[in-house]
Amino acid sequence: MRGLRGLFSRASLICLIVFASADLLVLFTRSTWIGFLGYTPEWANAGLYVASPLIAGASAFLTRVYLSPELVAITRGRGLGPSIRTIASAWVRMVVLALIGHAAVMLIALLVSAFFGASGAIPWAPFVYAVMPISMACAIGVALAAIFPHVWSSGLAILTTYGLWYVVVISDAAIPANIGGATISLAGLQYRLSTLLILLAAAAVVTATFLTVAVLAVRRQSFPRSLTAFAVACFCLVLVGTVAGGHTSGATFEPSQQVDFVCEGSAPRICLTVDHSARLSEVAAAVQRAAQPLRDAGVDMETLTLREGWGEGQAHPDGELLLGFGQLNGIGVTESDYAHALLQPASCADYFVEEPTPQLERLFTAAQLLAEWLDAKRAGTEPSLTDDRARELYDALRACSVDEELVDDVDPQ
Amino acid sequence: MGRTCVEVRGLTVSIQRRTILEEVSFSVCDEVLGIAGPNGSGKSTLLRSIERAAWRQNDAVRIGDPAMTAPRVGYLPQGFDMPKGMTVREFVEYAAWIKNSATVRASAAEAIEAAQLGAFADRRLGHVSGGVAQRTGFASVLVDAPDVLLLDEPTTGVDIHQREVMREIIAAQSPGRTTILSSHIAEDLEQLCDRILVLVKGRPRFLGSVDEARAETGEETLSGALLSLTAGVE
Repeated sequence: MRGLRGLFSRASLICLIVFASADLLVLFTRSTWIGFLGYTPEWANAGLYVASPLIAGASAFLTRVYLSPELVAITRGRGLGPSIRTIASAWVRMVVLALIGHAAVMLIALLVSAFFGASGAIPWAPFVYAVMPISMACAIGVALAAIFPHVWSSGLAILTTYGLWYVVVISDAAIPANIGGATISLAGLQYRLSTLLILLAAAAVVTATFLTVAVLAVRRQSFPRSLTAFAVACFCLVLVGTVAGGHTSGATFEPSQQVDFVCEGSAPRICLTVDHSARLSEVAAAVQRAAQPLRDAGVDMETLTLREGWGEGQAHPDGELLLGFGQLNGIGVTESDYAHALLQPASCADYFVEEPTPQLERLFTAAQLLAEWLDAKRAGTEPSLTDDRARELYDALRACSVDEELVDDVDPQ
Repeated sequence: MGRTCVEVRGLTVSIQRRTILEEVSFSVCDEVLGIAGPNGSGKSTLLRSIERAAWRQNDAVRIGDPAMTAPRVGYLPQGFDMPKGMTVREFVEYAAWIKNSATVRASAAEAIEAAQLGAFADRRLGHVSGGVAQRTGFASVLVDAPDVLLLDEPTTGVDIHQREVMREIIAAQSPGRTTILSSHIAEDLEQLCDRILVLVKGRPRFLGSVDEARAETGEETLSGALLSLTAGVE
C-alpha cells in the first residue's frame, strides 16, 4: 500500500519505542508467565490496555499532517474514494506500526519463556485478540486527527481512549479493549472461539464507526458535525461493548475437551498438564523433600495427589491438591512454596462459602500453624508444635474438620 | 482537455457573522485569472469556496458544463506541512494513489517532471527547501490532470529563483486549463494572468486585463495600479 511509504520517520520510530516500552513494562510486572508458552502470549497482551491509548495518541500525532485540511485539499479527487483511501492509509499505517511494536514485545516474551525451558504449544487466539485494541485505538486517534489536525489532538486521543477503555471495563461491558492478562490458571483451559468471534465483530464495528467519522471529517470539513459524530462513535463503542458483553458473559476461556496429565512420584504424587510438564521431575523431587517432615510425623501421604488446576468453576475432587498455575512449576518458586502447597489436602466446602465461617477460620489457622512447623523443620529450628500435633492438624485439615481445642491451645511462633 | 469554465455568480461568504466575500461574480474559461487584493480581502476564501463547490453543492459557483462528468479541480493551498519522512516521489505517488490515478507511477513521474522536481525526487520532504516543497504540492495537484487549477499564492515565501521556476511551471501548465491564482506579487499577475480580479474587503473592485488596470488607474506599472485600486485599505 502506497500509504505505508514513509512509515519509518524519526517521529514514528520514537512513538514506536514509547508504545513498545509501555507494553514491555506491563509484561515484566509478573513472572508467572515465564516458561509457559500457552500462557505467555496471553500475558504479553496485558500491556495493551495501557499501551493502546498511547498508540491512539501516536496515531493522532503522526497522521495529523496527512489529515490537515491543506493536504487533504491537495490530494482530494473525485467522489468519496480519495477520502476513504486517505483515512484507510492513515489507519493501516498506524496499525502496522503498532503491530510491529507489539510483535516485538510478544517475541521478547516468547524468547524469555523459551529461555527458561518453556513447554506447551503457543495458542493463536491471543494474536487475534491483540489486533482488537490496536485497531480500535488507531481508529480513535485517526478520527481525532481528522477532526482536529493539531498536535494536541494526540493528548486528547490518549485521554479519550483511556476514558473509553475505563468506561467499558467498569460498565462490565466487554471488552475488545480489555484483553489479555488472565491471572487464573490456564491449565486445562482453551480460548472460547465464540467469545473471540463476538469480540472481534464488536472491535470491527467500533473501528469501522470511528473510521467513518474520520472519513466524514475530512470530507465535510465541518467541525461541529464531526465532533457530534465522534461523540456518537464513543457512545457506539460502549453500546457495542455492552451488547457484546451480554453475549460472551465475560468468558474468554472454556475447559479443554481433553486434558492430558503426566504424573510422577508417590506420597504425594505430582500431576502436571502435558503442556506444563517440562520441569515435572524437578518439581516432584522438590515436593518429596518438602513432604518429608510430614511423612516423618506419621502423616499418610500415599493417597495424596497434587494436580494442576483445571481452572475456575471446576470440581476439586477430594484426595487431590489443586495447584495454582505456575505455583510449583514456575520460576522463582521457593522451598517454602513447595511445602505450603501441601497444606490444603482436601476440597472443603468451607473454602467456597460466601461468608467466612468459624470452621474456615480454624482451617486457615491450622494451615498457618503447619506452615510454621514445616518452615521450622526445614530450617532446623525448634517448632512450636510436636510432631503428633502436626499429624493431628494435618488429618483434621484433610477431614475438613478442625476442632477448636486443636488450634486454640497452641501458641503460634 | 475539454473546455471547463468556472462561473461565480453573486457569491457571498460569511464566517461567524462576519462577511468575508460579498456578491462576487465572474466567469473564467481556459484562461488564467489572477486574484489580487490586500491581506484579508478574501482571496483565499474565494479559492476555497470554488474548490469546495467541486465536491459540495454551491449554487453560486458552477464548474464545468452540467452535461459533462464532474470536472477535476486541483487546489494548491497557501502554506502546508508535508510528511517529512516521505521523499518527494513517494508523496506524489501517494497523492496519485489517493486520487485513484490508474497509473500511479506514470502519473507521478509525469507530474514530477512537469514540476521540475527530477533532481529532488528522492529527497525526503524534511530536507527540501520551501520552494521544492511548494512544487511537490503542485506536482501532487497535477497527478490527476485537473481541468481547473486553483493556486493560492503559489510563489509566496520562496526565493526569487524558486519564484521564477514556479512561474515557468505554472505558465507551462496553464494552456488548455482554467487557472485561478491569487497573489500579492505584481510580477506573478503580470506574467501569468490574462485577467485580474481585485478584491477589497471581500468585494470586487476591478475585473479586467493588466493593461485595462493600468489604463483605468493611469499608473504605468501593475504595482502602481494595484496600489491605486486598493488605496485607503489597511
